Amino acid sequence: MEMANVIEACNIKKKYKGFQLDVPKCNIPKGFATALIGENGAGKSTFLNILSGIRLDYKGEIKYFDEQEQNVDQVKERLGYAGPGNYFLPQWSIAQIEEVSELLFQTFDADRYQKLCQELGIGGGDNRKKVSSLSDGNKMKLTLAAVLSRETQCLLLDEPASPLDPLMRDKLCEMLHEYLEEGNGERSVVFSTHNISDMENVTDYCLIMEHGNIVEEGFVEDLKEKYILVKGEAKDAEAAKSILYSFSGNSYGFEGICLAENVDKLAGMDIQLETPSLCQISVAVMKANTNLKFS
Amino acid sequence: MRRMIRSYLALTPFLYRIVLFVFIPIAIIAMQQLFPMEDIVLCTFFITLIMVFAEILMDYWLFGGISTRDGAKLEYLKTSNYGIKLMKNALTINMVRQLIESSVMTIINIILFLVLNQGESLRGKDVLVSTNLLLLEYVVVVMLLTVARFFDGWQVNMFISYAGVILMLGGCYLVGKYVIIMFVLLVVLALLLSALSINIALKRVRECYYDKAA
Amino acid sequence: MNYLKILQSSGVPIYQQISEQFKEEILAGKLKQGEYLPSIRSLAKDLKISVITTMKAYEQLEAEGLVTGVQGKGFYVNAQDSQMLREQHLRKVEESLMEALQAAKIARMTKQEVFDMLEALSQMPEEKS
Repeated sequence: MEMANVIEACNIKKKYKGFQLDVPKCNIPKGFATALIGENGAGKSTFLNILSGIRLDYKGEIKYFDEQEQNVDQVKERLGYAGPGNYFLPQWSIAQIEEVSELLFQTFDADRYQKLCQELGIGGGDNRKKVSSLSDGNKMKLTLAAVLSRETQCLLLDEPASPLDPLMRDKLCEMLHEYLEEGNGERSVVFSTHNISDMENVTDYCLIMEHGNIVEEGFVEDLKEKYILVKGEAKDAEAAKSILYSFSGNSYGFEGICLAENVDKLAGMDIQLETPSLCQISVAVMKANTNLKFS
Repeated sequence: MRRMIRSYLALTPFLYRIVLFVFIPIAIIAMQQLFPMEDIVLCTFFITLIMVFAEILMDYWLFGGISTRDGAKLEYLKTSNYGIKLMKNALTINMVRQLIESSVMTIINIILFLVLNQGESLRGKDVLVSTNLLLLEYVVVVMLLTVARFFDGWQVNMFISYAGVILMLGGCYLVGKYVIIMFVLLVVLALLLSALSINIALKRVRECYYDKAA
Repeated sequence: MNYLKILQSSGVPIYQQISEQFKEEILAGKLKQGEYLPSIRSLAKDLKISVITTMKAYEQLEAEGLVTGVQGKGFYVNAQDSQMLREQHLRKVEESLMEALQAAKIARMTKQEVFDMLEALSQMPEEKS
């Protein structure tokens, strides 16, 4: 099936002190959920801010919805960005956010917002509650409620899972599944996350970032064919180490991720092959590209 | 216009409205009646003095720190095309509201004064000086708030409101002495400062889309 | 299709588990010709798995000629002519027997022993599966 892209970013560059975001090309597939994975400070938030148009000082071009319009202002109504921290003014109340949102967005549905607030148990039914008095988890829920009450075509979520409890993470996945299903291929989701295993069941495409660069990307099912999880005995460890993409061993045996094309080189060893989880792949890719030194 | 007022109302919490529109006016007028003053101008001066204090403190509740570099606070507004416009509308309406509120209180006060003190009549100079005081209050508040919004912390607003009171005390002497000149000067200043204040605030909000580095 | 079972840690990739189960249903005639499979996104939602996984499962069914994908509409079940159906089953029998023969080789069974065993097995009352 031919893949359309919801966002095509080209030559994105953004410099900070001691850090540079440099994305020569990045296409985000339309109709799918894309996960942005990487270390702290890898540039995920910066990248999402740029994509959502709340950060404008960067070089490069971004094309949305495969359309000619190049200005983020024209698509903001259809983008739904949600971020952590001070997303709303801290003095706003739950009810006030409803009023503000109605002014800010044409498609904001107040009934849906109220329903979501109730469903997610934000503020315990008290709409006067101020944002500053909510816990981090509830703040994120409120952010999600506001953004999901609109008719958007692409959600851009910065670390939506981190402040949520396991039950809410499950609910978040469910809501994202619903969002994608209702869109029937017209809606897409991009989210950054450290909680890869919690989000794996709603990750279709994956971008792994390190030091401002995208070091690996692809559909999860393709990545699971590209990388293979290898487990073997300690006696083969030394020989395997040079072939494996990532390696960890101890006195009982070794384990590592191997590129599928190199598996043949392990012939003769007493090994077991498994399909790795997205989490295992991500950690392997991140380890291979990190500046941090592991002993 | 309706949209502008809605923008302002959307940004004002319920409690804020109660304090600003009910509590403060009633408190001021009640105080005036408890400690009756002999002079209309003195009454107006009292009102404007208190309002300078109140406005600057109350503003922290609404626009506290919007001109600081920490633009992350405004992320939600930034995700909408209407965000900056909403801010502009709210700031504009807030300034108009401020002038109207003080004026209305002054007028009520003058009426009460005339009713309670039979025999007194309203002199032209009283009206002119009262108007000057109202304009002075407006100018002082707008000017100081533009500065106060660069800092995030209610203590800053508290400190600046003291400065406002000092400015009022100094200003009232001039206002009474050079009535006509000050009137013209204050009208011009009020118009200029209003435009400047909104522009500075909006410029800072727009700058949130960019980083200072790079 | 009213029954689908996914095992998260069975070692068999999830997309394969799905396509296998659909294949069985189709070959058994439980999913009729022209019938649409559930949409990839609703199946993903119901099974709590990613969209790309269900898509891969359906693409595999398509590659085997069991279903046809229509852009924007989904996947529908192809006509399964009885000849092809029989062939499918024959292939399965062949595969299983090959496996059995290999095992027999390792166990050094003679041809006759294998035949006898087959004979004996076919005499047994059919097991419910």
